[in-house]
Amino acid sequence: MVSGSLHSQILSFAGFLPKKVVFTKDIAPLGSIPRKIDFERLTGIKSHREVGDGECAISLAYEASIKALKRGNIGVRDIDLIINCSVSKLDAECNQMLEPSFASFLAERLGAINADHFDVSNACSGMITALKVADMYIKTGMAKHVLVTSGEYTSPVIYEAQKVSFWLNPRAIPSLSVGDGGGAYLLGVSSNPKMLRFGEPQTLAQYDSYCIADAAIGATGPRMRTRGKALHKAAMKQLIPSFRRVLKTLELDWLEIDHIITHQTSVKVIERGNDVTVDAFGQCKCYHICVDETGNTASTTHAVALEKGLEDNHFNAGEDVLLHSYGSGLSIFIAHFIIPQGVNSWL
Amino acid sequence: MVIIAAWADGKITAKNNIADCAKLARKACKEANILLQEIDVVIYSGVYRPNFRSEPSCAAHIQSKLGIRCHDLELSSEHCFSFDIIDGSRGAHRSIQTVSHFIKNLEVKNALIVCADVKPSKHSKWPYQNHALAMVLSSNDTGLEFVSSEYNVEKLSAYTKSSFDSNKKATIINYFGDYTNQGEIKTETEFTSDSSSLGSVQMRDFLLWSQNKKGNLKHTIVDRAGSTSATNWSA
Repeated sequence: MVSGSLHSQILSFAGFLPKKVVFTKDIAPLGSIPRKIDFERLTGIKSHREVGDGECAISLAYEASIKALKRGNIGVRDIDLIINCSVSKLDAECNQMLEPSFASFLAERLGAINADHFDVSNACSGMITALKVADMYIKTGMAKHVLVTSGEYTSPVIYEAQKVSFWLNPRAIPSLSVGDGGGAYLLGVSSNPKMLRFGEPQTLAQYDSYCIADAAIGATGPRMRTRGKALHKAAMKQLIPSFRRVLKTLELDWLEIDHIITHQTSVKVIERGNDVTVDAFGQCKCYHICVDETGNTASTTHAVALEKGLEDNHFNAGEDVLLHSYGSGLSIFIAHFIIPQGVNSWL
Repeated sequence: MVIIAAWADGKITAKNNIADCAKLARKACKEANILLQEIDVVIYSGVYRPNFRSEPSCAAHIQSKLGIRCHDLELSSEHCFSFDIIDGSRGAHRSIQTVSHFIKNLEVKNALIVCADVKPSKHSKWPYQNHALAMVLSSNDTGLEFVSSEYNVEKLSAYTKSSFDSNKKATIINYFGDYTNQGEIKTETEFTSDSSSLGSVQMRDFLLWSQNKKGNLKHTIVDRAGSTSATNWSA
């Protein structure tokens, strides 16, 4: 059994959004989607961010990582391990980096010469999955400082979707909801077992075919096809049981949790989720929404939401955060952490 | 203790790669005398996937194909979780290391690791044969025991990425840099795999070599891009 004396904590977190703003009314104007669906009204997503010239998945991860390292006051040469969780490992020309690991490219770019590195891939649950893997490395003494990072350059799927007929390919419509972003968490050692904990992870693999991303056919870059309604139904079905289980496992009181961040898919979905949880548990103190301005940034949604919360001065050291992630598969990974000291001086 | 309870390998097809991997997994579980529903985690490590698939994890597809605890959440239902670990040829070692953490932390009793690579598209030049290796790891068995691993970080010497070929109107693989060329090396207790092989083949070759051996063994994987991983075992 691993030593009971070693635990992990989040020393810092960071999200990064590229500067370019793209409005939903420009990529999905009324009349562009069958049955006169108003995509902005349907999702509540007003805009998202897209990479600019020369930017790509690595640069998004890099920018978030630099912020996290500065906030955590850890030098790049003190990182023992980098785990990258990008779903979209695209360079600036929309080419997918295959091998070696994406984390190795980031390590080279950061100058993290002492860091081991590998990738964890678990769709939009990737970062929370990697937090759990990182937690294990720290608990076993294999690492002291772990950087969990991701850069999501997913906006190419929007333009791929626009080229196909939505009448013939309704599963391409959800592609319009994505956005680009980067995220990073810096983990360190703690003697306190409650600084970073996890609910029991689950993959409900009977839903594995509901959202698939691979290479576009006859065109550069990726495509994504999603059974939107079916996936939403499956996710909503698990919402209350997944929260009940984690509250029980971690002995949490729903009404006492300071911040709840769920996967940022659409405003309407998050608000519907809140309505459902209010019925089950009561109104939580604070649930975060940023997807109206960012789109769904895949594995980085929680980090991006945390960054937004930081900018809006929502956080204080010692408060707790529950991160609930859904990922294609259908994977459910939940993390609970205590906001580190110094958070109010990060910006 | 973290043991490789059983393993199975073989050629797979790109078209039916998940089904083919699932067959090998079933074979390994049967040999390990572990029921599929007793698998707590599925990890997939492989770089090259059909049509360069990036989500969901291939592990989720395999879990689905095997029907491992594929039911909705209830308050006390039991579940399996799955995800991919990707690290070039070193994926097998990474996956084993990660599983060992879960087992040692008492979160997992039985794990399924599938290492597999297939030609991602018919237009790609790909110098390998499609191959998969399924390993069942457990804390409750006798067999080859995983002890520890080390990873050396060398400067990257080579990499691969996809690109769109407008003539072929298809996504293909491009190779850059100087690929490491380390042939197989065997001593009585140490085995270094041939770096020109896929990760699953490198791991399989070690498992074949280790059969009927006793004592402390070491397996080194040399990744095509120049980094290495070494695992220590007790047979």
